Amino acid sequence: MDILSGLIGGFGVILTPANLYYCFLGSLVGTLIGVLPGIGPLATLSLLLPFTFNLPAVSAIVMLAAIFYGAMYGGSTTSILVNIPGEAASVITCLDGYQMARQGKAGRALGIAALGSFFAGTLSTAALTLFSPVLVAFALRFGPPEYFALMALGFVITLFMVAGSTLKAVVVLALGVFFSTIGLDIVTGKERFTFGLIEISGGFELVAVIMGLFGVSEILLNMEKMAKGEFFKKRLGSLLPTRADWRASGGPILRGSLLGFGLGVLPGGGPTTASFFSYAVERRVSKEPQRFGAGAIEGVAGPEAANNAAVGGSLIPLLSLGLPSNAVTALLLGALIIQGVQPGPMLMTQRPDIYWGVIASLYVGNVMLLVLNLPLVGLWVQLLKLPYWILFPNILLLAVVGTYSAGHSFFDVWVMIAFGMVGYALRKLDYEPAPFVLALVLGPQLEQALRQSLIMSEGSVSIFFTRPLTAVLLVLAAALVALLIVGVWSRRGLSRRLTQALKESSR
Amino acid sequence: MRATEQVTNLVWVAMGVAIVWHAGQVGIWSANGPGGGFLPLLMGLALGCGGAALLVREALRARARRPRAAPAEDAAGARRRVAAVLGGLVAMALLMPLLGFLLAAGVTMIVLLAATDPRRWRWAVVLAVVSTLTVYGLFDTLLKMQVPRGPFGF
Repeated sequence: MDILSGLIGGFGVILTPANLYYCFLGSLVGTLIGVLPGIGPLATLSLLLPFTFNLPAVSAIVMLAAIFYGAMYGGSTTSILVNIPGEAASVITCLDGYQMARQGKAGRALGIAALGSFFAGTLSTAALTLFSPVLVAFALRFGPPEYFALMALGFVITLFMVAGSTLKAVVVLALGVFFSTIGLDIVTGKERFTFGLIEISGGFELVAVIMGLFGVSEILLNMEKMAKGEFFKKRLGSLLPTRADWRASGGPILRGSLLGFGLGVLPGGGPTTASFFSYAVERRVSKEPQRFGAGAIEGVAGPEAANNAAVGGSLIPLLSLGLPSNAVTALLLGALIIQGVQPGPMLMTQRPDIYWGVIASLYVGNVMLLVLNLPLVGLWVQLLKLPYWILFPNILLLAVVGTYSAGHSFFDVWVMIAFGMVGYALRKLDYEPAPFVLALVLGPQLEQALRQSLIMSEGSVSIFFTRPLTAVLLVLAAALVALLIVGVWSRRGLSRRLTQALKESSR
Repeated sequence: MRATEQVTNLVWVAMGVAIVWHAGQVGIWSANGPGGGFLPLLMGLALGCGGAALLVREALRARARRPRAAPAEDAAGARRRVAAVLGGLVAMALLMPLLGFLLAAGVTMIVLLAATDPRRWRWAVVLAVVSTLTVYGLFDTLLKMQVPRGPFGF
């Protein structure tokens, strides 16, 4: 009953002209950047974060969240029509989506991607509605040791989920946490690692770091390639899948939804991992696995459902625990903090407008996206013809002005440039920069929980092993670390496939 | 690329050592429990150890050296475009406090666009002017956000 009344309240918040407008704007921008190759949701969220400073907190988060799930819808269009993924979570859709387009079934592929995404998005939002309050009730009993243990476990799971080298992910995570400690000591108020630079006494400006690491580095990588895709010139055909298409896609959509939701909740998981897993599962359960890669509609339906469902899943830890599970939700957490909102289990009671408003906006946004992606698909097809040399100057200027206006500081522009170079170099060397953001945003909370715990126990680490939940979480984390070290659970197969596919898609 | 990898790994090790040393200066433990250097110390250790492990792994891989990948098509062009974007950003950061956003961005964009694709220099001028005015209008006029101003008031 509480859930129902909360949800009704949430619809009351979202169904106002202003919030509907921001939800629509977010969905539109999300679809746009999903369609356009060369700019992903993370870079866009970092670029648009300064725009939200003057907005009410609900509108800001609703818009940013809509960009996140909107990009999942839009990404499939480019994958299917141009064989270039609009964003990373649609990489796998290229395999069968583009083949369908070549066989004259582009419309049906786009249709099943949009309808499957709608179904999965709505199902995962329903699961978020039901499960998140349960987790909130549970989390209210958490103290600093439980939070520390949960974050430590989250970081370890992230190491498993990251595509590519685990050792490199360790380096990136450690760097992220270290950078989060630069500035004032949260307990003593003394400066750390600032080397007398007054500009960083409050730490690095989050917008400048993220804008550089993702926005600028993405531009630099795209400038290297200036990729030209083979544009689809055939007619789209009917957008409505046939009865046979539905029969073939029903199972994959349902499986993709469940898998995506589950993987979205896990730290380090998210839309990209979900879509790859879904493809692997569909191929495994198929009676004719040889059809995959040659235009099997299941290879479009499953992954597209999974990447959308992962969005709802990834919002569970954010809304109920105040802990992001991936870089995009870390940015949403950053946006909440900038707005003066303290995320965590108290969010539901202290700011029900934000908590339920965001959940209600997911239902509304999914409907908006279905309308934007099916009847307006022709418009997105035209946009695909926009060359990158027209786009990049605008992205670059947005990055510079956005960074400056976040803190009214020229120093931040230099920070953005420096992190842009670092991000570019890291990505060239196959380092995945996303865990850096997760660590940078979670770092202060991790340190606070660790130090509060040890102050509570007067310096004794026994506090982490005498509280049952903390002990279980830390033992689990330690076991996973041990597995990583001895390589009992080899994740190399998956990692290699992910890295390979991502590389191939970006060629 | 292998040399770059190894230099990067050495940087991680050096950074790890520096962080550990500096964490000691900040204070690792105090009467109230962990000090401000405690978490940085752990991260310095993780960074240093991670870098060292990567260093060793890469050195071992060197024995089974893979054939060097063929240079990408238009590698020089790619380098030129990347350098142009970085140069443009640095120029903009230097010029903005002196000239304000509108002039600094306009001039930098013309040079940057012309440098990235010299064949389209006429388009570069048009695009630079339109992009700069659009972004300025969006931030300054529409969103009322502060944009750096120069001696001429814009």
